[in-house]
Amino acid sequence: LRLTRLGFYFFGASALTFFAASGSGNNLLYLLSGILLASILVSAAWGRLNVARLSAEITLPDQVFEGQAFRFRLSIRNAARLSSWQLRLKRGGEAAFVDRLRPGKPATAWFIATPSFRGRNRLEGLKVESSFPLGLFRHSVAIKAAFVAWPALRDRRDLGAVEASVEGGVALPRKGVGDELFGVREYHETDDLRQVNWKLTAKTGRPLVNEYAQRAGQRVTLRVTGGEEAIREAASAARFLIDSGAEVNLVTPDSSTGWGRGMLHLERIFTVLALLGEGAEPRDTPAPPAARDRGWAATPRTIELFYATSALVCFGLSQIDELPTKIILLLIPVFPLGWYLERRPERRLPDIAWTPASTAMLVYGAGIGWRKFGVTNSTTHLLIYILAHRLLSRKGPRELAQGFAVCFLGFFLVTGLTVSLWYPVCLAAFLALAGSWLMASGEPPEPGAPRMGGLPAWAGALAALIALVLPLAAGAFAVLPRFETRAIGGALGVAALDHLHLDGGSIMGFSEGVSLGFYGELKKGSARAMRLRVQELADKPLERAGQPRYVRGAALELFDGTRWSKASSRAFRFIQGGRTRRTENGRAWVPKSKGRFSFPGGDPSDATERAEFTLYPMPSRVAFVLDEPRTLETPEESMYFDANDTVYFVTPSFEGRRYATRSAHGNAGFSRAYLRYDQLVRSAFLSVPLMPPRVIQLADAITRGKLRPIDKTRAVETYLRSHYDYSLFGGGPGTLDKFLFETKEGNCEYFATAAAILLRHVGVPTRIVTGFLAADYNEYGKFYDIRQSDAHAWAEAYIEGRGWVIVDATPSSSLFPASFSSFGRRLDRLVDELRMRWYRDIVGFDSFGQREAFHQLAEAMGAIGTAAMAMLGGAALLAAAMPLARRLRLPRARIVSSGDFYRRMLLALERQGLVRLEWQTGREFAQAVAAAKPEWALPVEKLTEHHYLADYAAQEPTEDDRREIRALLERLR
Amino acid sequence: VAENKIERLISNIGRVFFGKSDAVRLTVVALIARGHLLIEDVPGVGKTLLGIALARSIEASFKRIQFTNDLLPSDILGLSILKNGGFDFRAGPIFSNVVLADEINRTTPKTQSALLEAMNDLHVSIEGETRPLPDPFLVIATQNPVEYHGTFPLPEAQLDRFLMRLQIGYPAAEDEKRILREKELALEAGAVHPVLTVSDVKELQRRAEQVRVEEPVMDYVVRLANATRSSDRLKLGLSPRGALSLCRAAQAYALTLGRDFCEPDDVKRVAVPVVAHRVVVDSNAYGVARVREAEALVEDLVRTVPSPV
Repeated sequence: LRLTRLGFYFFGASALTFFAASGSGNNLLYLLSGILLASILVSAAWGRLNVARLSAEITLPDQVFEGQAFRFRLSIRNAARLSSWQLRLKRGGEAAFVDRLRPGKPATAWFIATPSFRGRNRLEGLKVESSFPLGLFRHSVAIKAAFVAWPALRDRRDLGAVEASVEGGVALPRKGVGDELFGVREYHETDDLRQVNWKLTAKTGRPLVNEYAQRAGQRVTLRVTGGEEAIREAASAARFLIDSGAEVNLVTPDSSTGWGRGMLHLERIFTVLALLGEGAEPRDTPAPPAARDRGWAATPRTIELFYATSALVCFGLSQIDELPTKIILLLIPVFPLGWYLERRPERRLPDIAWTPASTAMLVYGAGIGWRKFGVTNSTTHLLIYILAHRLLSRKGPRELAQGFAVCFLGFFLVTGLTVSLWYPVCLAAFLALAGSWLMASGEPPEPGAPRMGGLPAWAGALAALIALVLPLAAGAFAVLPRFETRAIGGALGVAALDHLHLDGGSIMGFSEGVSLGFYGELKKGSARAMRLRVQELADKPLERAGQPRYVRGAALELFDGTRWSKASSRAFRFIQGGRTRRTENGRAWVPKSKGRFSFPGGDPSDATERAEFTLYPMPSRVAFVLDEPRTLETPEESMYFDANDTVYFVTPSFEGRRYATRSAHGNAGFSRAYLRYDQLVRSAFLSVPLMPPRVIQLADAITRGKLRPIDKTRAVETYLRSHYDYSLFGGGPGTLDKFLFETKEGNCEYFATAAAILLRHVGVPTRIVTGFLAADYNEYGKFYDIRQSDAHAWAEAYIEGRGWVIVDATPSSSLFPASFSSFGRRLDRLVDELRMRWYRDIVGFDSFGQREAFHQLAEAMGAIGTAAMAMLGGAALLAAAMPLARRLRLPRARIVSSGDFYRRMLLALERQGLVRLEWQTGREFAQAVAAAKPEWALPVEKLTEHHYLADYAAQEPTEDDRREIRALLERLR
Repeated sequence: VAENKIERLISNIGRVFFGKSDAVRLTVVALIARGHLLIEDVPGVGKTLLGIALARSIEASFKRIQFTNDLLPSDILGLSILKNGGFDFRAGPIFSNVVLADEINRTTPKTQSALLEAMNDLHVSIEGETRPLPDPFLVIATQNPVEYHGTFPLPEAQLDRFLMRLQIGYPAAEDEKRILREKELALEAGAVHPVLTVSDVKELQRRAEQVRVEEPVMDYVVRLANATRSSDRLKLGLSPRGALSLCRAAQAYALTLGRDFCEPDDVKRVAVPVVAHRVVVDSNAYGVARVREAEALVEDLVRTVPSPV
């Protein structure tokens, strides 16, 4: 088991995703990191199973000589019950690829090896390797093989330099040596008459005898003590002697072979010589050097997958609201252009032409874009550029790997930045495409093997893989620890992933100044802003658990037509603990005693509720409160409030904060404690910017006949609620006038502003309050979960005698505009339900949710049977859907020519991933098809038969044949 | 009709020679392609039995020659003897339709040459007189590659005379059991009766020559031949005579399957027996290992050379 390069990066990507997830608390990132983690686990486990039960058998030739290449056969058999996939039988640079090895089936590959040594050799580097399923791990099974290599032979016709003793040395060469005539010479009387060459003697008239190459004795003893060269000489001599029929005895320092002749004896001699001295120790025959693993296959299929994945990522990017759609639109023409250039590579820009553009993009990304558009935006720009570049230029293995990285990063961004309902769809598609891509990359990059189109052999494996990964990922998603970090790093993480500009207000959906059209952006954020736990004080229960609550942040009183802000300092005096106090620079400092701050204007013992606030990091000093705060417990040393009754800490909550308030029901603020409050109210809360007259007319019209300020307030509230529509994503920046008379729809700040300004026109003092509307109550954790999307703005009106009252003019059924039909509403409610579940269970899953889920799980243990049934049903459904999906993907065969049915058949099969190898004859191919797809055996065999008759027997198909051919072709569809 | 006859022949041989239907079919191919057959395998796998069974299946003259190292050419070809004042020619065993040359590598090259020349020329010249051999004429030679003590291996150049070299191999377990069971089924018991006449064989030979070979198949044969010539693991590739033989064998093979046209598959199936003994491997191996190596090489070639579809 070895981690591949891809696996290494994959681990990196998982770590990055997990880091980003824990930094931002973004659950989609948790989901993605769960999937990555599950993929790693499944990949390791399945990869192991894939090669676990392979048995190997090596067939070596009978005779292997030192230094001489030989062929041997490696056959592996799959003893497991599951198919093994994408196996690479390899030795060094030589490799054979097995796409799929069915259970019980063998596969065979031939290798060539050259033993470097005499004697015992071990075959180095022979192994079965597989990076299936995703190429993250390389599992390999080393196959051990040993053999004895005989000494290298010389072409010898004599004994050479071998120490030998010839016995019974009658110089009679056997006739067997007769082929090896050395020459003729004059007859000598000692010569045997049988050696006389009669023909030549007759021709020349003088007696001539044949002389043979070697006068081998009948019995020869060879003595060898050692030394490579001597051993080779001895082996060559032994072969020559045995060839010439002599009896040979080989004597080594340790042993002797005894006398013998013939081939079997020669083998004995060779073996003894091979094992002499150093040869007895096994030595390694090195494998041929392996080419560097290219890793990524650049096949037509992976290129297709690159296009598809890029397109998906582009779609995902277009779902990010912060990203201008224009940029994505720019990318659309790149796809057909890239595809065109794929076919006409000569028209591509040379790589060098891209360099200046790439440099410019980098400089832009690092320098300008970062500051001007924010981290995310400029990163996305860069990604889109790289994607375009890669789509338009040559795609080698390296470029494809980069392409994959870019696609992953793109999808990572999509994950971090969208919470849209499209995301699950995108995720499913991304899993399928990226999974296919990784699997396809495991195929050998053979340029000659066109495996394009159709479902490849491993499509089923991919489906199984995804089916395995998903439950595991869901499990990982549920149990991955949620670090709700309050460190500044977390805030930065949020800023980078959840929002674009590192601008104070947008981080947590809370701002101390409000522009019109601001909340629409905030509403899309899923990041958590705070958690609020409310305990009713035992003696004064109010039973408000779980009801929506207004979490008051900052109040603002100055409005310039588009933006609310607060006066930097507004001096006033107030009574606290019986003493008159004075503001310092507009700040009214609150005294602290016994670890709690007591606010003026009410009796602390009136408090009905204790609220515990857990603030997530945000660059704001505001202390959020519920109702009328009486006391506040915090380790901080000092805090103050201002003329708008906003409570502040002295330092921003950069690292998050935890404090508790006790408050009484009501919204009167601290106004009762102020001295000369009327004066303050008149100077601060009644000013209006210059407005078109119709605004004033409208204000008058709404409040006509109402005398009491409270009635005016309610009239305005009711009017706005009933005549205007809430629109989360519409609106955008605009003016109050436009909202009131033209668009008539907007976010909460439009309603709050309208209420505040209209009321000011009719003499009711108002201010706008920003905060959160806590509605997401977690009954298990007993707390409100408050997210950026809960950010809210409302108005407060000052009613003489009652103090400040909340004026929330935002329509409460904000999702359903009045114009919707009932069907539309129902549909909307369904979508809303889905959306709610998506947001609550997936996007908003956290450590409390985790505990809650475990709690529920414990309860649901009884119902586990049902769940199992459901899963089985799902599996059955999947199984039923598979053939359907396959059918859907089946391509229409292109009609090449009317008579060319065989090529049409090949084409149709090719689209199913069944490609004829060029050495295969038609019948062999038909057999291969039958083995791979038994259901097609018959049509393919018949079509081959027809084709053979037409091509090799020159028999034109009859009309009946043609009809049958057409029907058979149809069956392959 | 041709198919019937051939099937009858094959099943007739199969009655005594179990299991190896490929070897039997190839033997028949040699017969109807007017070729000769060299059966090379270890002792005891039924080389001789196959030869006898084929010979006895044809109603033709049959002679078996046991080759020994003291056999003389005249022992094969025949000689004239003085009789009644004149020379009387005594025809040797070669003047038969089917000649079984057992253990051909045990005899001297001189005697081997006499046989091989006769095989090639289809006539023999004895004492200045040319005598035609009977038609059909088929030599089935056997040799044992394991032991060559006291043998004279056929030179590789001469092997070209044989249309095919066959390996028989060990029988499958089932077939071997059957051999044990039916051991009494000896040839003497008359298990093999002639099923073809000489004229049948001639007719089949004529039909085999007429088997249609289309252009792509010829191209394929030429491609294969070229591949042997350019292979760096071969010292010597296939000769044009070899290519011609390959084509003839493929035609005959097609006919044994009852076809009157030749497919690339036919070429493939006969490639190893036709080509392997005609090429010279660049290797030190000898004996059976050398034979296997040559066959493996040819198998490799048919697995790499592009085939027509």
